[in-house]
Amino acid sequence: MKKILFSILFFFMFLLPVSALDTSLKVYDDADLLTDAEEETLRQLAIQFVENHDMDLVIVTTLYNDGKGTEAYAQDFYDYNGFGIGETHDGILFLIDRTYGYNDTYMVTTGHAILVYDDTRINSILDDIYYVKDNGYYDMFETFITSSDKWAEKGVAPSNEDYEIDKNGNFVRKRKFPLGMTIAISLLVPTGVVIFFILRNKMVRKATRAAEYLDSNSISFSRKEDRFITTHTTRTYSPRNTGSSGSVGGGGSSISRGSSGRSHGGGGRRM
Amino acid sequence: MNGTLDHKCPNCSAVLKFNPHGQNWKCEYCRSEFNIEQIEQAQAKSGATINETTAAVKAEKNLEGMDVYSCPNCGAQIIADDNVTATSCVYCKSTAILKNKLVGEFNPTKVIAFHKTKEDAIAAFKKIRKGRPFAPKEFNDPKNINEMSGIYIPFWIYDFQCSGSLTADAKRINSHRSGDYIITRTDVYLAMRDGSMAFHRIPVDGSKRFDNDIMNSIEPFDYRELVDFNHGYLSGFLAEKYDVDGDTAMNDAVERVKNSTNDVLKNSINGYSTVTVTSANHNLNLTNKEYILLPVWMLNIKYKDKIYTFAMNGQTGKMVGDIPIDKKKAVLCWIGLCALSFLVCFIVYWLGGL
Repeated sequence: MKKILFSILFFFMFLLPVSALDTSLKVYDDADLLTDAEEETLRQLAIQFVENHDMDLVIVTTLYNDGKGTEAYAQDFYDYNGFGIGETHDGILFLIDRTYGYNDTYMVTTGHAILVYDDTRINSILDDIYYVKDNGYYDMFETFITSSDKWAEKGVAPSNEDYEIDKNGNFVRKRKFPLGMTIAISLLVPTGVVIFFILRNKMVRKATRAAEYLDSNSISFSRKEDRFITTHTTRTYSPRNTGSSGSVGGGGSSISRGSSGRSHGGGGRRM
Repeated sequence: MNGTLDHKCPNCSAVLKFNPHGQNWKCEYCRSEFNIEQIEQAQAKSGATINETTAAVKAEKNLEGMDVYSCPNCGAQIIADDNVTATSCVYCKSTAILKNKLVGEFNPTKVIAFHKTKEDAIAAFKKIRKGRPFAPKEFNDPKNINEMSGIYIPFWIYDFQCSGSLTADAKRINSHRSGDYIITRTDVYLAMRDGSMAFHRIPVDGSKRFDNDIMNSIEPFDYRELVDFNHGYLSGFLAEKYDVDGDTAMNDAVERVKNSTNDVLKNSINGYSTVTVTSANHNLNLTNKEYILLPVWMLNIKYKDKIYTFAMNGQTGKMVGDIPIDKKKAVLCWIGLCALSFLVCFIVYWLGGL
């Protein structure tokens, strides 16, 4: 029953204008964990970050995650309020969710930010925040911004070098033009074709057999003997294949799809 | 007597040529057609048969191995080398069969008549040329291709009874896995085979002028159409007599018989993983030898100071010959194909494949 109710609520959310929220505020302290002055300071830091890195930065606190769970709430907050820069909605969001009475933190990455913040970097950021959690919420948020800023300076994470964000915002393996293979194919195939046609020009063969003149009815055997001579056995060491099918790395970012269908990276923990 | 035989239409005395498609003789002037019986009757009447008594006729002159004959039709001189037995007069185009070359040991016992005309041969050449893009353009030139000539080539055919004995090391190898080991068991046998078999009518080209490998390559001929020799078949074609005697030419046939005997004996060793022949002996008995003429369409094309010879089996139409490679064409084609396939790869990538 509750679910149906939420579904209806959700449905109405779609009907509402998307920009019900002013996306330029960057800090949405719905749980009221910060003072107005702190909010303003963080807002300035966020705006600075956006200017420097061309990625959005959103800070959210909530007392209730609409029953979606922390991750989904964070993703939906980002997606349905129209955050993000550019076609692929690049940006990061940091949420402190107080629904369960704890500081459930979650960091969402979207678009280009997925490439910059791989799982290792997200964990590192969360570690930095965890380290200052006893200093209060402001420090946690400020650490989030400075730590994120530090990694953004370094650009795309090495683990994601072979990946890119396609025009739909999906995290995909980079389509690299297989130059080596192409050169090999475009040398080998024509060489094969040319050799085939060169050999075709040779039609004269010396006959070494007379099989077509053999009268097959005339064949008679006077001896057909197979004499056993010897036998020998060898043992060769050959260990069984242990099936070393190592898991194929899928880049450094674990991806989840939000209810909007958009790809997000991210990670969170209870602090 | 001038040593040549002609073939005149019994009805109108025009030159009578053999007609490969009808397997008969057709007069181009009065349109009469004759079969072999009618030709034999006409020959008997005019006394134009070859026998030992007319063999005494000699060439008028002998100029450095060239014999000079006079054309029975127009009287012009016909010059032919020692091996030519049928040729045509350069002036009136009528066939001159040099009968003193076709007597005694040089009288073939049998012949297979031409079944393919010059047009058939030209069409066959164009066909083999078609699927071979690297052939130089000289091989497409009608001027060259029209030089196709029909020649009765002297062949020796041999019958052999061959008994062979062969020994081989035969190994049977089985392997299976046992834990981390592969166990391989090899059983070694000594396989011995003695057998005999007969070979019939292995042909060997009896003329030095024609390359043996090419003649091998247009085999086989269908011997069911081998008929008793009559010089009337030569009418309209060229012919040669042998200059490699039957004993020398036999070596090629012997080699082929030995190899095929080995094949038969070796193939009877079954059920082994490997068979290695260690010794093979043969005892060949020549049971028959005949001198025959076989029909071949020949074409020589000169390219870069080398003569390339093409031959078509005049009976079955099988055409062979080595076509040289036009290197410029091949290199350009290779470069073009490389560029093309690179482009194709790129387009496939670009369209989202790979």
